[in-house]
Order: sequence, then C-alpha cells, then structure tokens
Amino acid sequence: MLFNSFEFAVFFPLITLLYFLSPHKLRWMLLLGASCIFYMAFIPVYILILAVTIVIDYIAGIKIENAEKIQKKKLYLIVSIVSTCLVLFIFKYFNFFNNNFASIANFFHWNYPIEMVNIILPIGLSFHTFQSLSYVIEVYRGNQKAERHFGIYSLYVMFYPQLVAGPIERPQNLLHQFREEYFFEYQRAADGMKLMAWGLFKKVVIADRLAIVVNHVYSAPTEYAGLTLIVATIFFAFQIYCDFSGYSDIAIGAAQVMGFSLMDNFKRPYHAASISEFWKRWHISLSTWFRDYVYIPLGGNRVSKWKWQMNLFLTFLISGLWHGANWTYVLWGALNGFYLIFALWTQDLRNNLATRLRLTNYPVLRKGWAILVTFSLVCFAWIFFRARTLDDAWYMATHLLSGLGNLGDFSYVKESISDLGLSKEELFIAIASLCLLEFVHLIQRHANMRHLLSEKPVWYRWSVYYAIGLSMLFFGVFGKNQFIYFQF
Amino acid sequence: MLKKFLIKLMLFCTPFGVLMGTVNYFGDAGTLFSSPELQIAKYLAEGYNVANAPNIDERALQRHVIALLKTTPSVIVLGSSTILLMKSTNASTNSFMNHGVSGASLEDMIAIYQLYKSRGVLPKKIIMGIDPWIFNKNSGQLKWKTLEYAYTAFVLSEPMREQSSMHLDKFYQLFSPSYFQSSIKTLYAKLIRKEKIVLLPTKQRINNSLTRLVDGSISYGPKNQNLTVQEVEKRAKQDMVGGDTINLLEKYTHLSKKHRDLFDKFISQIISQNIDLTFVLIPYHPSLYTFMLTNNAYRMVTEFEQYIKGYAQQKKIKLMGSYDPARFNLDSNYFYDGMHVNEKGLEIVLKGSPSPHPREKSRYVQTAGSL
Repeated sequence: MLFNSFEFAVFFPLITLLYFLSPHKLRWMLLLGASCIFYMAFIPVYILILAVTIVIDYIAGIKIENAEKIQKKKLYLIVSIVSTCLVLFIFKYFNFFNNNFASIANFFHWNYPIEMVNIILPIGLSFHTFQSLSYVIEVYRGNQKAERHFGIYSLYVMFYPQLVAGPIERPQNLLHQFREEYFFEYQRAADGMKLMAWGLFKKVVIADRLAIVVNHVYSAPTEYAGLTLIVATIFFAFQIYCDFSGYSDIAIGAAQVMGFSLMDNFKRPYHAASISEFWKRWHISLSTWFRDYVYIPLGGNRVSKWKWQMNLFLTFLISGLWHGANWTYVLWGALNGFYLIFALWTQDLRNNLATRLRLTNYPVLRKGWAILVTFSLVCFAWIFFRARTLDDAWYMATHLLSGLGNLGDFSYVKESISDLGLSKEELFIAIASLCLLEFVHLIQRHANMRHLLSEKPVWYRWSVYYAIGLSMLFFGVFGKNQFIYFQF
Repeated sequence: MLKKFLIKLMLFCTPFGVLMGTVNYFGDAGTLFSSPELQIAKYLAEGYNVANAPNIDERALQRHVIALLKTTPSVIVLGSSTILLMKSTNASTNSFMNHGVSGASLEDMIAIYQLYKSRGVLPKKIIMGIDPWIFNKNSGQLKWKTLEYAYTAFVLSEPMREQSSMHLDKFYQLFSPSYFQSSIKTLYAKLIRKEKIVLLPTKQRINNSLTRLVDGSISYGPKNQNLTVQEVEKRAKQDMVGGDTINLLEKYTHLSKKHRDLFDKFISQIISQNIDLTFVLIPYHPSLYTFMLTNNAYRMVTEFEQYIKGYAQQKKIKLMGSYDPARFNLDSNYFYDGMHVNEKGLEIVLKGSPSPHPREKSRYVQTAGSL
C-alpha cells in the first residue's frame, strides 16, 4: 500500500480511529493486523519471508539473553545474523553475484552451470532486515532486554508506518513504546497530520514532477549532453530527497498521530558544508546504523590512520551494496567513501588556502562555497546511483560539461531545457516548488515550521493548510508512483 | 478531544471533496460520466455508423470499442489518421477493426495492442500503419496518456490495473486528483466555448460531417470528397508550414534509441504470438514529400524509411507502401491533403507493389524550387 494512494487515505484514518477506540491491551493486535494488511497489499505471500526473519530473531534474542557463556551468546548472534542476512542475500544479491561469477567463468571459457533465479525482491526487505539485526545486536550487547512477547516483537519489525522504508529504528527507542498507553492528544495529532501533509506535498508536487525529467533523460542519457544532463542530475538530487524525506515525514507523522515517536531521518542535507556533514543529515537512521554496527566494530577512528580510512571506505562500500545489487550502487558508495578520505587528505591544504585567500574573514561566503561544492559532489555521485548501467553513468559523467561553452547562447539554453520532457508551465511549477522547499528549509534553520505556524491566528493557519492542499490538488502528479527507497 | 479533531478534519476536507466531485463530474475529462466516446462505441457495436462526432478522445473511443467487442476481429489496423481510411473491404474480410488514432505514437499502438491482450484473445493479423515520427523523441505527442495504464502494463509486463471494475473506478475517479487536473480544463472549455455534441447514428456511410464507420474506419463528408486538385495542392502547401501532423516531425534529429528498443520489444512480442504482421507506409503528397526531401529538418523521414525496411527484412515482416508517392505514381487526385491519401490512393498502395525502378528524384526536386 502506498502512502500516496487512495487506499492509504482510507486505511490510515480508519486504523487510527480504531486504535484510539480500542482498549490498550488489544492495541498491539490491531496494529499488528493493520501492518500485515499494509504489507500484504504489495505481494501477500512475501509476508512469510518476514515471518521467518521475525521467528529467527525472536528466538535468537531470548537465547542470547538466556545464555550464560559469552561464546554461546556469540554463537546465537552469529546464527541469527547469518540466517537473517541469508534471506536478504537470496532475494537481493544472489542474481547479482551469480551473474558476475557467470561473467568471469565465461571470460575464462569455464563451464558455469548455476542458473539465475526468477524472484521479485520483497518490498522493504533491507529495511526490516536491518531493524531485526539491530535488535539481536543490542540484546547481545546488553543494551536491550530480549522481548518475550512475540506479538510485541513482531510489531517492532512490522510497525506499518516504517515497515517498508524506515526510519530504521532501534529497539531501545521503539519497543517500549508499544507497551505504553497513548491517549489522543489534539496538538500531537495535528502536528503529525501537518508533517504528513508536508511529506505528501514533497512527494506528489516536487518529487514526482521532477521524476518526469529524470526518467526522460536517464532512460536514454546518450541522447543528451551538457546542460540537459546537469539539470536532470540536479533534479534527481531533489527528487530523491523529496521522495525519501517525504516518505519519512509521512511515516513519522502517521506514527506521531497515534502517539509514537520515530527518529528523524533528514535534516536539510543539501545545506551540509561537507560530505561528512551531509551523511549526518541524510538518511540518518541508516547512517547511524552503519556507524554503530559496521564502522565502530571495524575500529572506527581509534586505529591507525590508514586503517581508519579503510574503515570509512569499507563502510560506504557496504552502504552502496545495501542500496542495490548493482555495480552502479557499489560505485556510488565507493565514491562517497573516497570523498570522505579525500577530504581528510586535503583538510590542511584547504584550510591554508582559505586563510591565504582571506576567506576566513568572510565565514558566510566560505560556508556558501562549501555548501555549493558539497552539493556538486553529492550530485555527481547521484549519477552513479540513478544510472541504469555503468556505461550510462560513465557517459553522463564524461559528458556533463559538453557544450557548456554555449551557455551564453540563449538558443542553446532554450533547446537544452526543451529537451527535458516538461512543458514550460510544468517546468515553472517544478522550479517554483523547489524555491518553496528551500524557503521552508531556510526558515527551519532557526525555527520549527510547525511551531511557528501554531503561533499564528486561525485564519492564517487555515489559509496555509488550504494553500498546501490546493497546490497538491492542482500541481501534484498522481500516477501512483512508488517511493524510490521501496526497491531497497 | 478526538471528536473535536475529527470535526475539524472533516470541515477541512469537505471543501476539497466537494470541489473535486463537482469538477470531476461536470468537467469529466475522460467522459466517464457522460461519455460521447462510450455512446459512439455503443452505436458502432450495434451496427450503426456515427456522424457528428468531432473533437472526441479517439484513444478513449478505442478503449470502449475494444471493451464492447463481441468477438475479437481477425484483422486489426493500428496506426494514425494516415491509415484510418482503410476499411474492411480493403482487407477482404468482415472480421476487421481499424483502430487508427490521429497522430498515433508508438505508445498508442502498444496500448491498443495491450487492450486486446488483456481480453485474452488476440487478432490473427495486424496491419500496422508506420509513420516516421514514431521514433521522434521530440514529437511532443502525449495524447496516448489516455491509455497510459495499458501502455505501462506492456512496458512493465504487468497485468492491466484499470477497467477491473468500472463502477468502482468511476467512484474513485470522482474523487481522483489526477482526474481533477484534466477535468478542470475540460470544464473551463465547456463553460467558455459552450461545446455540445449531438451524435447521429446512421446506416449511411457518407454524411455531411466526418463519419465513424462500424469497422472503425472513417469517411469524410462531401466537402472533402469533392476536393479539386488545386484545393489539395493548397492544403499540401499549408501542411508544409505547420499542420498538426507535420509538427510531429519537428526537432527530429535522430531515430531515438529508446523508441527503437521499445518498438523492437513490441514487434517481437507480436511475432511471438504468431500474429501475421504487415507494415504499411502511406505515401505523402508529392509536393510535401519533395519539400521534406529538400529540407534538412525532415531528413529523418527517408532515414526512418530505410531503417524500417531493413528492420522488416530482418524480421521477415511483410512491408507495403512507401512515403515516396512516386513509387505508386500518386498525384493530387489521390490525396485529401499533404499527409492523407484518399480511398483511391490507399487502394493502390494496399494492392500495388512498389515500382522496380528508382524514383525520379529530379522531377520533385525541380518542383520544390517552385514552391
């Protein structure tokens, strides 16, 4: 079930109403049942895969806690991790690795008998796998008591607002919330609804309109060059941000209406002044997951400089592979890892240069420049993330600057823009909505938009709500477009 | 507290619902609630030709025509208005349906084929009118969006989602924001232009206005039937400076790879279903063709023809016709305008075989100088 669908518009209010009308002891059942319906709206039979993961990790959690010897705890943890990851591997990575091994065998003229498997990736598999893993690891570390209530544990993995695309929650934050009794609170529910509305606005007005341009250009990139590729890539940067942060806003808002508090997933990432800052603002629940369960166990930065850089690179390489079973994602991860390492190498050089150029006297200018450079690097990396093949990505990366010498020629600019697949009006709407987005982001630097609004008189607030609602109605793209991160 | 919240929420949402419902019902962009296309399809299914049906959504008509078919025709025609005159008599069978739509793009043909596929029974033969703009990524042709769900089903190899339940769908559409966006435009047009359609079911094949015939083809009224050579020449010249159809050939710089791949996927699927497939290239008016030959902006027309002939040869698909009217010695007597051959011209193309001699280019190049 998609958040931007008619079905969800009926499902959510109904479940929320039933939730508050139900006695506390029955609520977990209601939410679990609702989560099953929500998940089964995609491919019903795949709920069995989810059930297998849940059963394994539920038992593993209890076994780990009950085990007295550390070796036994470790054994249960390894069994749990391996079996959970095995499910992920079979559905997500088997064909990828098999295909690569087959190519290698073919290159050496070896006989390679293993066939590809014809399976569809269960929706959100990587998300609930990681959420399950964080549970067993935290139980192993002693930070979380094993959950003995099978229903509550199942709900922890399956809670429908964040089931298919996060935020990837930690057991310490989420599990105890299912035991608490939440009463309806007007302000909390209103705030949650506002966040959902803003998320939906980002999805249908911005992301799905920009998607038209992005799909148009990225489906046949070799037919374009220069400005068209640059615009399409910048549009993709905003598309993926609005798509994913829009999803997160709806998820967090929906949970908030019912009283649950989920972690923030985005903090204006394109205002980051460095790549490391970008990763503290982008997909926070995943970044912190990799930090806590991959980077730090590898040794983090408490090792030699060489090892530290290796840890960084490896973490991003795995992060790339997490996003998708394709070399384009691996390269995207590697590129981000390289950015971070390169930033470490050049930190002194950049500081010296800034001092010599007296940029230190103009901190705003320096920060603006840093934001621009960071955004450009992030956009460049997005090419590898979005391109269908490595060939496409390579073509785009090497043709971004083609013809840019003609930028002064109005007809070149006009032709490049007309190649984008949007009419003038649609392009205007896309750019105007991006301006609105950035305007909101600028305000959010200093204040919470929802709190600001709540201080305004009723007529003002309702005018804003109607303006958002009407702009979605008139300018939204309603094609039941899936959220990008569902595929991961 | 909860009650207060719900009341406020309903107060907030009600104007949106009322606005959407009103605009969608009265604007009715897809003619779901007052469908002239559906009514036309019903008349055709009952065996009547239909006159007085201008400005309809031809794609929506095809959807209704296919939905109302009692049996799947043996022969169907896909293509644009250039092949819309092809009748059952041209195919020598009564089990025939012409699904030509004005300015047909590749997406249109795919979507209509997909509509048949979703019925579970496919025709035995497909005659495909191949227009040169179908590989032009800059054609700007978006009329196919009416059948986008069918096209998407083909591209994604998924079952079609629309039409599973028309009544439920209508209810959805009443509160559909995407339908609202289309309906508000049609409502504006209705209120300002006061457009009104009065359909005329008839057994006559030629009427005062354009007539949609039971076999899906069309016949023009007497005004078009009795055109003089000079009038046809004048229309052909008008087409050179920008008719609806020649606009589809604008900014045609190369044969789009994306469209070539899509076309190949489409054709391969047809062939895999053991359907007898024929490509038909409808000639242009001599003046317009010469204009295109001598104007670099339209060079893709000849390049496309070469490509499609090679493709047909490679796939062993029967190909009839050519964009070059000299292949069939067609002059203004065989045209309605620059883009459309008349019934006589079409018959020659469908029956005749291309001249074995190379065309006399010089004759037309000289003519072009005088245009």
